[in-house]
Amino acid sequence: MTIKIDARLSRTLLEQPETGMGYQIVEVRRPGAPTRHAVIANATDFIKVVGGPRYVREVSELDIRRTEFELKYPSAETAIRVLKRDEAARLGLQEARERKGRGAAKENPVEDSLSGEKFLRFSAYDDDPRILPDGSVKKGTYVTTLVDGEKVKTGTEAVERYALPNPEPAVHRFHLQPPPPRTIVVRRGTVQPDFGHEGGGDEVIFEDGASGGTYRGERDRLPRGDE
Amino acid sequence: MRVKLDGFWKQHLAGLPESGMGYQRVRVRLKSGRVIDEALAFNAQELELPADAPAVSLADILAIDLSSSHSTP
Repeated sequence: MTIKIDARLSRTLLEQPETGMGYQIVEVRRPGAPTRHAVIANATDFIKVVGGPRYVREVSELDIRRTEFELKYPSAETAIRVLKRDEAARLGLQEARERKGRGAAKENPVEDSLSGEKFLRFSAYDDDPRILPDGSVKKGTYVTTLVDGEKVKTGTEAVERYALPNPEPAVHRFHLQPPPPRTIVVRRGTVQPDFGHEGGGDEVIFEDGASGGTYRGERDRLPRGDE
Repeated sequence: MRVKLDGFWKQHLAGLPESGMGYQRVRVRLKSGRVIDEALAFNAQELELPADAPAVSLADILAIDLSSSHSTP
């Protein structure tokens, strides 16, 4: 979900470099208030992700709402600046795919997901045998993070970003969220180049699967992108 | 070459971990004794066999396992 930020802050960001293609990781400061961090797309839109890992420090819904308020209704004293890559990485704010040596998810140790964290799964098929009728998900299933998956606009882009061997555009997108406050065991990493594709997207393995209600029928269909 | 899998194999594959989003690297053992090492299973529904594999039908398949190149620590 994206939220338009204040026009003055947008103009400030337009004069500053991007952190990556089309986005900036920013620091928002106001005297007397905690320093906040956010990811801004196109210098105009706050990428609002509840529970999104490693993008911003504020991961609770309340913190994100406060950041949103600050960006929409800043005071005259509110200042915004883009963090340098090394600053963002040092603060743990830089996204996974830009961290060197993160490697494939299967090579990384297990960790707990965040409560309320959302994931996406792309497929060329409109049904998925790894998602069961009760909405649970089989162990060993690969997904991507919500923020990463939302960058993908076509099924062909999904094939490239997640280095999928099936050339058929992965136009079906399944939305997954383990019911909060439950967390699940995951491995996180970066899709490595394979099958002639670049990879580079976030990949997450549901190590032990996910419980019923993780999939609640929310899905959409992307354009193929190869016409 | 692609082979559509039936319910038995779908259920079998869905119970095994993936190699990436929506696919598994698998080894297919045929009733003839031949082993096809570098196959892929898409969405636990279809087998993609390498170009040099023999023509295969569902009835020829004895076993499908994750290939040795699939590994999770």
